[in-house]
Order: sequence, then structure tokens, then C-alpha cells
Amino acid sequence: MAACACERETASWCSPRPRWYFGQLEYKHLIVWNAATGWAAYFDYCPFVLCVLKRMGYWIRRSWRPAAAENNGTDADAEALHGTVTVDAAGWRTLATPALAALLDAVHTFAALTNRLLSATLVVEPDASTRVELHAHHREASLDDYYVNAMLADLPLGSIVQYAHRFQFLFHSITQVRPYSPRSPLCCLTDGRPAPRRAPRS
Amino acid sequence: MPEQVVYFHWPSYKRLAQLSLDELRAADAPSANVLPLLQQIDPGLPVLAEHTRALCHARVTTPAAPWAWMNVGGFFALLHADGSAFVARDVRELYLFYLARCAC
Repeated sequence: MAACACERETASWCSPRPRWYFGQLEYKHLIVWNAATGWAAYFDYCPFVLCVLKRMGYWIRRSWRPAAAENNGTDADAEALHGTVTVDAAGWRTLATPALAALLDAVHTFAALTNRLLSATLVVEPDASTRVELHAHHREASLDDYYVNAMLADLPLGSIVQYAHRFQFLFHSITQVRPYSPRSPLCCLTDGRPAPRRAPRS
Repeated sequence: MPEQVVYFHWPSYKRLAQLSLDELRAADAPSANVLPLLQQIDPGLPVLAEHTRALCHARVTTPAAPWAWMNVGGFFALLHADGSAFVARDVRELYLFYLARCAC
């Protein structure tokens, strides 16, 4: 929290952002398993979230412009290029909506998951690994599901919703691609022959 | 969808191979590896992620199908439509708990 309270006068929009990205990347190391209580946190997350929201509110309300001596154009160009700020004709900068949305996505996911884990009910079932019988056909049939689950587990917290908002007009489902592909996944169901195609809609 | 995000953030990402059956049967098998097999045993339980409203699951699950798995950031839980969440060291413990609660 000391890191949040400092830099009150000199901080820029870029100061809460890397701090929060660090929280996303290192989240798995901030939450630990306790056999008696379930998940536990190494830190008090509520003040942390409130601090970040406060800093976000500060920057949402403001437009700023560097002094003429500092305004060599490079910082503004770089921030605008990355979509962090929008710059008007007079050189005034305001926080860009995508940058705000990305941080809000991260804050919401962080707070919601932490609250979920810390308030969840602990379940203890003895000898579960032997009572649930796993067979080879379960393993073979579930490989596709495994890859999806493993990717979900490997991704930093909040990165999926951040991506979904940033690239919301890209495809979101393979069903969009399949009707346009000459060798669609349906070929697997038809001995390699192209699957019958529907007539295009008029 | 996860594939897009993984390769956008991590272009050199390589998918890890699934564990062997003996490793999966061990008590300390990771939940990400075991859960897909449980999905084969009971396909009726959907897996919700952060982009499919795992963190506000009461809007997704219904009284008719109240249970769902959660996989967010590598953390796993069993969710119920009444807003409750259950965690365990091993997802198989959650599955046994679900079997006992759903009376099916």
C-alpha cells in the first residue's frame, strides 16, 4: 500500500498501470492454499483495489498538457500510438477509453476472483483420487478440452476479457470461420470428403 | 478464444502434453489436467471462464442446471446458481461433493 500512497504529485497514468499488470502476472503467488481454510491472500486486497480506483478516477476527470519546454512530441506520440491517450489539436491529452477499459477489466476480475476464492466454502472428501475412477478413454477423449483448460490456466488473470474488449470485432467462435473454409472440421466426419455446403442465403 | 489471447500475449507459447494416466490418477495431479477427464465423466457441468461470466455465474447457471465449474487464472471452483462457490485441493473432491449434493 505504501507504493500506492506515494507519488501523489508526480504520478502519471502510467504509474498505476504497470503496478496493476504486475498484480495480474503475479496473482498466483499472492494467493496461497491453506489446508484448514482454503484459499488465503498474502495481502488485504480491498484497500489495494480502492487505491487503484481512486487513481483511475483522478485521471478520468482531467485533461493535461506538458509545458512547452517538455513538449517535444515523443511522449505524446508514444502514448497516442499505444492508445493510452487521445490528443486534441491544441495538444491536450485525455485518457483513452480502451486504456480505461483494460484497467477496469483487470480491476474487476482481480477483485471478483479474490472475493470468490476467499469466501468460498472448503470441501474435503477423503480419498477422492481413488474414489473417482479415471480410465484411458477419458484421457484420450478429453485432450481437446485439456488444451483449452490448460491455456485458460496459463493466462494471466483478466487478460481474456481485456483481449475481448480490445479486439471485440475479431472472431469469437470457430463457427464463424467454418462455413467459409474449404476444408472445414466437418471433413473429419465425412471421410475426408468436403462436407455438403448449404446454398448461400439470398 | 483462449488460443487467440495466448498467442497474442505469448507468441512462443507451446502447449504442454497431457499427463499420463498414472500421473492423472495420483492425488496431487493438477486440476487443469484432471478436470477435462471429469468433463468426460459428467459432460453436463459446463466450465466457465472469465469471459463466460464465471465471476457472475448466477446470471449463467439456472435452477434447472445449477452447477458449473470455474477456471479463472488457474484457480478452480465448483459454482452453484444460488451464488455459492466451493473449493478443494483436488477437483475430484469437488466432483464427489457435487454427486452427493445433486442426488443424481
